[in-house]
This record gives sequence, C-alpha cells and structure tokens, in this order.
Amino acid sequence: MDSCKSIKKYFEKALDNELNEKELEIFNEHLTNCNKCQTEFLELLEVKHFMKDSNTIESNDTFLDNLWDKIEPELILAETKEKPNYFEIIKGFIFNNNRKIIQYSTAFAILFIGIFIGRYYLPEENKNLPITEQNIIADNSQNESIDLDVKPKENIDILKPTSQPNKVTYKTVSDDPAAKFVSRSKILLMGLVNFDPTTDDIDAINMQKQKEISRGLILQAADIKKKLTKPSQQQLKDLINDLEVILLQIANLESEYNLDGIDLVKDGVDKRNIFLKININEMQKTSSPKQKQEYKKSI
Amino acid sequence: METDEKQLILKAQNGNLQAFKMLVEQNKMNIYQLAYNLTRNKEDAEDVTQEVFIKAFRSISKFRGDSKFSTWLYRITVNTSLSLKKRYKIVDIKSEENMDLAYKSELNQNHSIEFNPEKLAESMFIKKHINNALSKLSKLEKTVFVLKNYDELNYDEIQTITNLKSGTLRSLNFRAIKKLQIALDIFSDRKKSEAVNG
Repeated sequence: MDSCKSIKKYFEKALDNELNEKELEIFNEHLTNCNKCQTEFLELLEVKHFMKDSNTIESNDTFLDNLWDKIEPELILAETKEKPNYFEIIKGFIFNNNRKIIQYSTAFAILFIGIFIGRYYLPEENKNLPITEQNIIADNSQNESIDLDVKPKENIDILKPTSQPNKVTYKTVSDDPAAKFVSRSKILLMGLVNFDPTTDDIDAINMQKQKEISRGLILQAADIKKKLTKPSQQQLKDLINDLEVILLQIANLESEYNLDGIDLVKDGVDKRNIFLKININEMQKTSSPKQKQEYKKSI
Repeated sequence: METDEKQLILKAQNGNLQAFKMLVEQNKMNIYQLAYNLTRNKEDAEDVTQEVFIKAFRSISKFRGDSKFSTWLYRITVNTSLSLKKRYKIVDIKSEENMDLAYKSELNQNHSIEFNPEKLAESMFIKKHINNALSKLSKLEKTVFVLKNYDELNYDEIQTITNLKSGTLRSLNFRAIKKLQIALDIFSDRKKSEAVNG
C-alpha cells in the first residue's frame, strides 16, 4: 500500500478529477484502507463543493440590459478621437517661441555634451555597477583604524592613497567591488529565501526586478574574479562562483510566478551553504586588525 | 471559434459598432459573473464589466484569434479586477456593521429572493462567510480558484488568461482550497454555536 505522504500528492489531481486510470486505482485503494486520508480528502472535496454550490450571484438584469447604453458613448469617443498632428504642434511652437527655442536648445546641447563627456571619461570599474542601488562612499581618508563597533557600511578602511596612479585603492571597505557584489547578492537571496508561499503573496516579490538585478550582478562577477589573483583571495573567488550559479538560476526563472523555480533557488542556496560562506567572508574582513592589515595588502 | 463570431470580430475590428454590440450581448453575462466572483461586490462588478468592454473595443485590433474571444475577454476582466482594488480604498471587511449593512442592502434589492426572514438570514450568513473566506486568499489564488471552480475553465484556458504554468495553477488552486477549508472551519464552528445559542 502506498504511504499517506505519496497519496497526498494525488490530492490536487483528484480534486480536479484528473487522475488517470492507474492513479485512480491506487488512490481509491489507499483511501479505502486509510480513514485518515479519506477524511482529509473528503473534507477538501466538501469545501470545494460548498464554495461552488453556495455561491450565488444576484441577477442584475437592469444593469446588463442598460450596459450598451452606458458604454456606447465611450466607444464612439474612442472611435472618433483624432490623433494629434505633431508636426503642426512643433511648427507652431517654433514660430511662436523663437527666443525660448534658442534657450532650450542651448540647455539641451550643454546637457548632452555633459553626458557625452561623463560617459567617455567615466572610470572603468564603476561602469558595471547596478543603478538600482545607491553607492555610498564615505570619505574618511584621515582615519587610521577601523572601528569594529560601527555598522558595516560605516566601516572605514585605512588604505592610504598611493602615489602610484595605476594601483587601485579603496577609501572604504564598501568601495571594494567584491564586497559590494557579495553584499548585494546576499540581499537579493535573502528576499527570495525568506519568501514563504504558504503565507506570503507572491505578488510581493517583484520577480522581474530580481531577475534584472541578477543579470547585472552576473555581468560584474567575471570582472571581479579576474582581479582576485592572490591565494588569500581564493575563498572569496569560490564564493563568487557559487553566487554566480545561483544568480544564473534566478535570471533564468521562466515566469514571474514560478514557485518551483523559487524552491530550486532555495535548495541551491541551502546545498551550497551560501549564507554560511558569506558570513565567514564578512567575519574574516572585520575580525582583527592583523587580518584587516592583510586584507589591505591584498588589495 | 464559430464562424458567426469570427465575422463579428472582423467587422468590429473594422470599426463596426453594431458588430461589437452583438459581441457584448453574447458575453456580458459571463463577464459580469466573473467580475462579481473576483470583486465580490456588485458596484465593483458593474464598473469592471463596463471597463472590460471599453478596453476590449479599444484593443480589438490586437486580437489575433489565438484563443477564444471569451478567453481573451476573461483575461481583460481578470487584469481589470486585479487593478481595480488598487484604486479603491480597502474597506475593513471585518467590520461586522459594514458587512451587515452592505449585505442587507444588496439582498433587499434582489426581488428574486422570496421574502422569507429565515432564508434571508441564512443566505446573508453564508454569503458573508464565503466572502470572508475568499478574502483570505491571495489575488492569484482567488483568481485561479474562481476561474477553475466557478467559471469551470480548464487549466489550458486559465493558462492563456493568466500566463502562469499549469503546475503553478494547480498549486494555487489546491492552496486556495486548503485556505478556504481553514476559513470555513471557523465559520462552521460559529454556525454551530449560533444554532445552539439561537
């Protein structure tokens, strides 16, 4: 006899009358011999029938009879509404507002030039940062130590500016692209892992945004890993590899309401002990001045 | 799709109002019922029904005939019902006084119910608790439950309407039934207690 746990997987299909012949045979046999499952299933069936049979919709003949009269004016309006002639609008604007045209044109020209210069001279490492999150950079170059009691985003790194123009230095820990990547990935995963389909409304998760953020992070991962060449950075590199796999899963979720996909992501996070590895990574960065010094040197 | 309906749709797509009127007449009852089942409120159902047909007329040129015309209308109805809630201030439906007044007003307008105080009370009681039970469901769960059990659509049709996978739809429907079971358990306990106490 099949166990109760495996029979309960048939409940969904049984309620919808979608069991095939073989499944129905197994299902009926188990229910005949198991009072508990029989009771449970019959209660669910009763709920379904009760909701269906008790649902009454009062007739609304008055409304339905007059429906066309109510909507016809809107439909006629929709049909006859002319599209605006944008050429005429622009032409009139130009001829009536010469001075203003020149002022606005100048302003737009300056704006575009500024954007062009900014894009052309923008530093390489900032280009791939997701624009959905703020990057807060604390200018604490005069401080010589990291205060462990301060919250992580306020931590101050004591890397001194170097005279070598080619060496990349970070004024704060939060400047470190790898740390930012890990932090953002953690926030993204926590949102998904903490989602409980039995109690939470799936509409609360903006799946499209999660996928966009995942794609942005995946694009960054390759560049970040290239710069982690030292042996002491291998652990961080492995963590980024694991995160990449999970982020790929999220980015490839097929639809916005893919509960199975979310479960898959959760399993992946559990199996790879992602949060444990992230916590270890964070602890290593903030635990002792000696380790902080090593971290500075590694950068 | 029947040939008559196809021809009506083609004419409506060319701007023929009379053809569209016939489509409205053929589908208005089903759309109103679905709107009512989703909103559980007569006024909202009326608003949704009107909006559905106005939207349908504006975008009928986009209807390609991949699905039944009624399925396409159902899709608009579901989307309109879901967005309608955001515009309206959410009334505290747990307020017993508000519910009682609303139901009494609605039922008193329905002349088809034979005036019988006991039946009226029973009907109000059941309706109140069905609405309360349905309010425990998420928007998606309610939508899928209504389409599957009230409109008796199959999962393929519901998939066309909601763009959700059939596995997800089955899960949503099952979860809805389980949540309703919990909600109605409370209702049946209360009913027994009211029956005992009078």
